[in-house]
Amino acid sequence: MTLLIVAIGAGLGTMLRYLTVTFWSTKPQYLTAIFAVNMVGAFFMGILMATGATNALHHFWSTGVLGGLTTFSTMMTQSEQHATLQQLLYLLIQLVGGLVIFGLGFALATFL
Amino acid sequence: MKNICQKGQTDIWLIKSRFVKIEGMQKQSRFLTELIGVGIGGAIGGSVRYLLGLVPIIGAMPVMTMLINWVGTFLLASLGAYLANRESRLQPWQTFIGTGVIGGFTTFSTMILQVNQQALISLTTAIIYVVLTIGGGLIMVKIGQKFGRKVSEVRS
Repeated sequence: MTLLIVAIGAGLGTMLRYLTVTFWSTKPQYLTAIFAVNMVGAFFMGILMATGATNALHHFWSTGVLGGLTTFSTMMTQSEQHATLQQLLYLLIQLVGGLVIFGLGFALATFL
Repeated sequence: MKNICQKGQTDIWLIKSRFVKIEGMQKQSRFLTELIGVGIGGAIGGSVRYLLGLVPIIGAMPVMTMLINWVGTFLLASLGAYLANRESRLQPWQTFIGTGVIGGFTTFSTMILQVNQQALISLTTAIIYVVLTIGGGLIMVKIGQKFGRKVSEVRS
Protein backbone atom coordinates (compact mmCIF):
# COMPACT_ATOMS: atom_id res chain seq x y z
CA MET A 1 0.00 0.00 0.00
CA THR A 2 2.79 2.40 0.94
CA LEU A 3 4.46 1.47 -2.33
CA LEU A 4 1.44 2.70 -4.28
CA ILE A 5 1.35 5.93 -2.28
CA VAL A 6 5.06 6.50 -2.91
CA ALA A 7 4.61 5.74 -6.62
CA ILE A 8 1.82 8.31 -6.96
CA GLY A 9 3.84 10.88 -5.03
CA ALA A 10 6.98 10.27 -7.10
CA GLY A 11 4.94 10.51 -10.31
CA LEU A 12 3.50 13.87 -9.26
CA GLY A 13 6.89 15.17 -8.12
CA THR A 14 8.55 14.12 -11.37
CA MET A 15 5.81 15.77 -13.44
CA LEU A 16 6.32 18.97 -11.46
CA ARG A 17 10.05 18.83 -12.22
CA TYR A 18 9.36 18.25 -15.92
CA LEU A 19 7.02 21.25 -15.99
CA THR A 20 9.58 23.43 -14.20
CA VAL A 21 12.36 22.41 -16.59
CA THR A 22 10.09 22.98 -19.61
CA PHE A 23 8.91 26.43 -18.59
CA TRP A 24 12.15 27.73 -17.05
CA SER A 25 12.51 30.56 -19.56
CA THR A 26 16.21 31.36 -19.57
CA LYS A 27 19.22 29.10 -19.63
CA PRO A 28 21.31 30.49 -16.78
CA GLN A 29 24.71 29.07 -15.94
CA TYR A 30 24.07 28.28 -12.30
CA LEU A 31 20.46 29.06 -11.38
CA THR A 32 18.98 26.34 -13.55
CA ALA A 33 15.56 24.74 -13.25
CA ILE A 34 17.26 21.74 -11.62
CA PHE A 35 18.78 24.07 -9.03
CA ALA A 36 15.30 25.49 -8.35
CA VAL A 37 13.56 22.11 -7.87
CA ASN A 38 16.41 20.86 -5.70
CA MET A 39 16.19 23.92 -3.45
CA VAL A 40 12.41 23.65 -3.15
CA GLY A 41 12.78 19.94 -2.38
CA ALA A 42 15.44 20.55 0.27
CA PHE A 43 13.31 23.28 1.89
CA PHE A 44 10.28 21.05 2.26
CA MET A 45 12.47 18.16 3.38
CA GLY A 46 13.59 20.40 6.24
CA ILE A 47 9.98 21.08 7.17
CA LEU A 48 9.22 17.36 7.03
CA MET A 49 12.17 16.50 9.26
CA ALA A 50 10.88 18.97 11.84
CA THR A 51 7.49 17.22 11.91
CA GLY A 52 9.32 13.98 12.70
CA ALA A 53 6.55 11.75 11.31
CA THR A 54 7.31 8.35 9.78
CA ASN A 55 3.90 7.17 8.57
CA ALA A 56 2.62 6.54 5.05
CA LEU A 57 1.74 10.21 4.54
CA HIS A 58 5.32 11.11 5.41
CA HIS A 59 6.52 8.59 2.80
CA PHE A 60 4.16 10.11 0.25
CA TRP A 61 5.79 13.52 0.68
CA SER A 62 9.44 12.68 1.38
CA THR A 63 10.17 9.49 -0.58
CA GLY A 64 7.47 10.22 -3.16
CA VAL A 65 6.88 13.86 -4.06
CA LEU A 66 10.19 15.38 -2.91
CA GLY A 67 12.21 12.40 -4.11
CA GLY A 68 10.60 12.67 -7.53
CA LEU A 69 10.83 16.45 -7.64
CA THR A 70 14.53 16.61 -6.84
CA THR A 71 17.17 14.84 -8.85
CA PHE A 72 20.82 14.00 -8.44
CA SER A 73 21.51 12.40 -11.80
CA THR A 74 20.48 15.38 -13.94
CA MET A 75 22.39 17.72 -11.65
CA MET A 76 25.55 15.68 -12.22
CA THR A 77 25.21 15.31 -16.01
CA GLN A 78 24.26 18.98 -16.30
CA SER A 79 27.31 20.04 -14.31
CA GLU A 80 29.47 18.09 -16.76
CA GLN A 81 28.63 20.63 -19.48
CA HIS A 82 30.68 23.23 -17.61
CA ALA A 83 34.44 23.56 -17.47
CA THR A 84 35.96 21.88 -14.40
CA LEU A 85 36.07 24.95 -12.18
CA GLN A 86 32.53 26.08 -13.06
CA GLN A 87 31.35 22.50 -12.67
CA LEU A 88 32.63 22.32 -9.10
CA LEU A 89 31.16 25.76 -8.40
CA TYR A 90 27.79 24.66 -9.77
CA LEU A 91 27.77 21.60 -7.52
CA LEU A 92 29.03 23.57 -4.52
CA ILE A 93 26.25 26.16 -4.94
CA GLN A 94 23.62 23.42 -5.03
CA LEU A 95 25.11 21.60 -2.07
CA VAL A 96 25.59 24.63 0.19
CA GLY A 97 22.28 26.11 -0.99
CA GLY A 98 20.51 22.83 -0.29
CA LEU A 99 21.96 22.56 3.22
CA VAL A 100 21.15 26.19 4.07
CA ILE A 101 17.63 26.03 2.72
CA PHE A 102 17.04 22.68 4.44
CA GLY A 103 18.03 24.32 7.73
CA LEU A 104 15.75 27.23 6.93
CA GLY A 105 12.79 24.92 6.39
CA PHE A 106 13.63 23.00 9.54
CA ALA A 107 13.94 26.18 11.61
CA LEU A 108 10.74 27.66 10.19
CA ALA A 109 8.74 24.53 10.98
CA THR A 110 10.28 24.23 14.44
CA PHE A 111 9.85 27.79 15.64
CA LEU A 112 6.62 28.82 13.93
CA MET B 1 -11.64 39.14 -60.74
CA LYS B 2 -10.64 41.15 -57.72
CA ASN B 3 -13.33 39.42 -55.71
CA ILE B 4 -12.17 35.97 -56.71
CA CYS B 5 -8.63 36.88 -55.86
CA GLN B 6 -9.62 38.06 -52.41
CA LYS B 7 -11.79 35.04 -51.89
CA GLY B 8 -8.89 32.79 -52.85
CA GLN B 9 -6.66 34.55 -50.39
CA THR B 10 -9.24 34.25 -47.65
CA ASP B 11 -9.48 30.54 -48.36
CA ILE B 12 -5.74 30.14 -48.17
CA TRP B 13 -5.72 32.13 -44.97
CA LEU B 14 -8.45 29.93 -43.53
CA ILE B 15 -6.60 26.76 -44.49
CA LYS B 16 -3.38 28.17 -43.09
CA SER B 17 -4.96 29.14 -39.79
CA ARG B 18 -6.56 25.74 -39.50
CA PHE B 19 -3.21 24.13 -40.19
CA VAL B 20 -1.53 26.24 -37.51
CA LYS B 21 -4.31 25.30 -35.11
CA ILE B 22 -3.87 21.58 -35.83
CA GLU B 23 -0.12 21.94 -35.45
CA GLY B 24 -0.61 23.65 -32.12
CA MET B 25 -2.97 20.94 -30.98
CA GLN B 26 -0.49 18.27 -32.02
CA LYS B 27 2.23 20.05 -30.05
CA GLN B 28 -0.06 20.29 -27.06
CA SER B 29 -1.02 16.63 -27.15
CA ARG B 30 2.61 15.61 -27.62
CA PHE B 31 3.50 17.66 -24.57
CA LEU B 32 0.69 16.09 -22.54
CA THR B 33 1.76 12.61 -23.62
CA GLU B 34 5.33 13.36 -22.56
CA LEU B 35 4.14 14.80 -19.25
CA ILE B 36 2.08 11.72 -18.45
CA GLY B 37 4.93 9.47 -19.58
CA VAL B 38 7.35 11.33 -17.33
CA GLY B 39 4.88 10.91 -14.45
CA ILE B 40 4.67 7.16 -15.01
CA GLY B 41 8.46 6.94 -15.33
CA GLY B 42 8.92 8.90 -12.11
CA ALA B 43 6.47 6.60 -10.33
CA ILE B 44 8.54 3.60 -11.45
CA GLY B 45 11.86 5.17 -10.45
CA GLY B 46 10.50 6.34 -7.10
CA SER B 47 9.02 2.91 -6.37
CA VAL B 48 12.34 1.19 -7.02
CA ARG B 49 14.06 3.73 -4.74
CA TYR B 50 11.46 3.05 -2.03
CA LEU B 51 11.87 -0.73 -2.37
CA LEU B 52 15.66 -0.47 -2.15
CA GLY B 53 15.15 1.49 1.07
CA LEU B 54 13.41 -1.58 2.51
CA VAL B 55 16.49 -3.79 2.09
CA PRO B 56 17.49 -4.97 5.58
CA ILE B 57 20.24 -3.07 7.43
CA ILE B 58 21.76 -1.24 4.46
CA GLY B 59 18.42 0.10 3.15
CA ALA B 60 17.96 2.79 5.77
CA MET B 61 21.60 3.84 5.65
CA PRO B 62 22.89 6.83 3.67
CA VAL B 63 25.06 4.36 1.72
CA MET B 64 21.93 3.16 -0.09
CA THR B 65 21.03 6.68 -1.20
CA MET B 66 24.61 7.14 -2.38
CA LEU B 67 24.49 3.92 -4.41
CA ILE B 68 21.11 4.91 -5.88
CA ASN B 69 22.49 8.29 -6.90
CA TRP B 70 25.64 6.75 -8.37
CA VAL B 71 23.78 4.15 -10.40
CA GLY B 72 21.26 6.72 -11.63
CA THR B 73 24.01 9.11 -12.68
CA PHE B 74 25.84 6.33 -14.52
CA LEU B 75 22.65 5.32 -16.37
CA LEU B 76 21.70 8.89 -17.30
CA ALA B 77 25.20 9.68 -18.58
CA SER B 78 25.25 6.41 -20.58
CA LEU B 79 21.84 7.09 -22.10
CA GLY B 80 22.83 10.63 -23.09
CA ALA B 81 26.10 9.55 -24.70
CA TYR B 82 24.46 6.58 -26.42
CA LEU B 83 21.65 8.60 -27.97
CA ALA B 84 23.98 11.45 -28.95
CA ASN B 85 26.09 9.04 -30.99
CA ARG B 86 23.49 6.90 -32.65
CA GLU B 87 20.06 6.94 -34.23
CA SER B 88 18.04 4.66 -32.04
CA ARG B 89 14.52 3.45 -31.43
CA LEU B 90 15.11 4.63 -27.87
CA GLN B 91 15.08 8.27 -29.03
CA PRO B 92 11.36 8.96 -28.37
CA TRP B 93 11.80 7.32 -24.97
CA GLN B 94 14.61 9.59 -23.83
CA THR B 95 12.38 11.88 -21.73
CA PHE B 96 10.49 8.94 -20.26
CA ILE B 97 13.65 7.08 -19.25
CA GLY B 98 15.95 10.02 -18.46
CA THR B 99 13.70 12.64 -16.87
CA GLY B 100 11.11 10.13 -15.66
CA VAL B 101 12.55 6.84 -14.50
CA ILE B 102 16.16 7.85 -13.75
CA GLY B 103 15.29 11.36 -12.52
CA GLY B 104 12.64 9.92 -10.21
CA PHE B 105 15.05 7.21 -9.09
CA THR B 106 17.81 9.55 -7.91
CA THR B 107 17.17 12.12 -5.21
CA PHE B 108 18.75 15.31 -3.98
CA SER B 109 16.41 16.02 -1.08
CA THR B 110 17.04 12.73 0.74
CA MET B 111 20.77 13.20 0.30
CA ILE B 112 20.56 16.65 1.96
CA LEU B 113 18.39 15.16 4.72
CA GLN B 114 20.92 12.42 5.40
CA VAL B 115 23.85 14.83 5.40
CA ASN B 116 22.07 16.72 8.17
CA GLN B 117 21.22 13.56 10.10
CA GLN B 118 24.83 12.41 9.83
CA ALA B 119 26.14 15.82 10.87
CA LEU B 120 24.15 15.53 14.10
CA ILE B 121 26.01 12.29 14.86
CA SER B 122 29.43 13.04 13.43
CA LEU B 123 30.50 15.95 11.26
CA THR B 124 33.36 13.92 9.78
CA THR B 125 31.04 11.18 8.52
CA ALA B 126 28.73 13.80 7.05
CA ILE B 127 31.59 15.41 5.11
CA ILE B 128 32.88 12.02 3.94
CA TYR B 129 29.36 11.16 2.78
CA VAL B 130 29.01 14.36 0.74
CA VAL B 131 32.46 14.09 -0.80
CA LEU B 132 31.93 10.43 -1.71
CA THR B 133 28.48 11.07 -3.19
CA ILE B 134 29.58 14.01 -5.33
CA GLY B 135 33.03 12.62 -6.16
CA GLY B 136 31.61 9.23 -7.04
CA GLY B 137 28.90 10.95 -9.08
CA LEU B 138 31.51 12.82 -11.10
CA ILE B 139 33.34 9.56 -11.81
CA MET B 140 30.02 7.92 -12.74
CA VAL B 141 29.35 10.66 -15.32
CA LYS B 142 32.74 9.98 -16.95
CA ILE B 143 32.39 6.18 -16.89
CA GLY B 144 28.77 6.39 -18.03
CA GLN B 145 29.63 8.57 -21.01
CA LYS B 146 32.45 6.24 -22.02
CA PHE B 147 30.19 3.23 -21.61
CA GLY B 148 27.35 4.79 -23.65
CA ARG B 149 29.75 5.72 -26.45
CA LYS B 150 31.29 2.24 -26.46
CA VAL B 151 27.91 0.54 -26.70
CA SER B 152 26.82 2.82 -29.53
CA GLU B 153 30.06 2.07 -31.42
CA VAL B 154 29.69 -1.67 -30.95
CA ARG B 155 26.08 -1.62 -32.09
CA SER B 156 26.59 0.46 -35.22
